[in-house]
Amino acid sequence: MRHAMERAVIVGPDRAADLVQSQLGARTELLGAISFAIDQLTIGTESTTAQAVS
Amino acid sequence: MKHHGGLTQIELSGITGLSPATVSNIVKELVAAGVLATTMSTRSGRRAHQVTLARALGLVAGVHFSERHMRVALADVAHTVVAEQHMPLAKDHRADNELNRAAQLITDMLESVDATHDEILAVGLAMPAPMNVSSGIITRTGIMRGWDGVPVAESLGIRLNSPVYVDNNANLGALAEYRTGALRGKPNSLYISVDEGIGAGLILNGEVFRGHNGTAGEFGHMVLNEDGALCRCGNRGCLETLVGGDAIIDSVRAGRRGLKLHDVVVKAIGGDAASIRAIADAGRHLGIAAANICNVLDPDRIAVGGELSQVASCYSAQCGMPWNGP
Ligand SMILES: [Zn+2]
Repeated sequence: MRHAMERAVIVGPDRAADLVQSQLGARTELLGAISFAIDQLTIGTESTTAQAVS
Repeated sequence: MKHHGGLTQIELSGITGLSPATVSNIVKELVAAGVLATTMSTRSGRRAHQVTLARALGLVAGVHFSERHMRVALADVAHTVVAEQHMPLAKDHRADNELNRAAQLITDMLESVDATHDEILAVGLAMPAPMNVSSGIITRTGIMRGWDGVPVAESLGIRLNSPVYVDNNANLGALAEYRTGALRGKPNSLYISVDEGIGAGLILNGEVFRGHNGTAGEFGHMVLNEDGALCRCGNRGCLETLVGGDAIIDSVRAGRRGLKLHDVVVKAIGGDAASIRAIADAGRHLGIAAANICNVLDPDRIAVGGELSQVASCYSAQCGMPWNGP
């Protein structure tokens, strides 16, 4: 995959994107779903906190 | 805190630009209000206050459907997974059955941690198809036939009596790898899921990029040969017709009925020449397709996940899929 990609990128092989394996493995998308759910929460005094910060 | 899970007060100070004293005061106030919790931890040999959201706030659930698997987990709001289950799915599974099973698994897991449905604050749902995030319906018919026209977020929400938020699985994979995995610190990067289906999630300027219709990153349906084989999306010659699970299985199936992508991966790792060849060919096509994305977006890093990525660590030389370490 890397070899084919490096041959075809305009920037050339030296500046091509790093190609790495996922670190979270088979659970990557499940953990993403959990993060996404937490992102949607309005927690406790979130609006009050925003005022306190500003 | 929602994004990062746990941070020290020094890290919070760095991220917010507030002075350590101000951060300390706000943290104290929010601990007293039951919103945050602190524990002592050691970072770089120094003791520090680790701050998280208070676990008592409640639970969230994550559900990930793929073409052949379902994974379900419960976590607290500090991102700690407290229960997890997965099960294989039949090919061409149907929405009603699988949403019932996901809801039942969540109920069982709640019992196992002595919790109730009332404690679930939200559910995140990852689907292996382009999603209309607001209607919760798959945007293109034919990609998951048993799920066409089903408002999946609403349907699961009714079963669980909780708000359910749905997105494409590769988008959520990109989010997870960017927050805590191989794409951390890489605000312009890409996650490619190479499984039965092929998808990509884009991180652009530090955010998941969903595009105008929410369907950005449909990497598997990038057309590489307009006269090629028919794809399940209705087009011809999509990347998926060359490197998707069905394509790889077809290319090594001779005399092997009921073969799954996982079997091909195991055989490749075991040295089976046909399986190695099929995966090497897939790697070549994926490389060309990835180069096309690189030429458009110029990402810093690409992380590859999914079933086929497992081959890389065991068999990189033979399969032509070497990786740089993250
Ligand atoms: Zn297609």
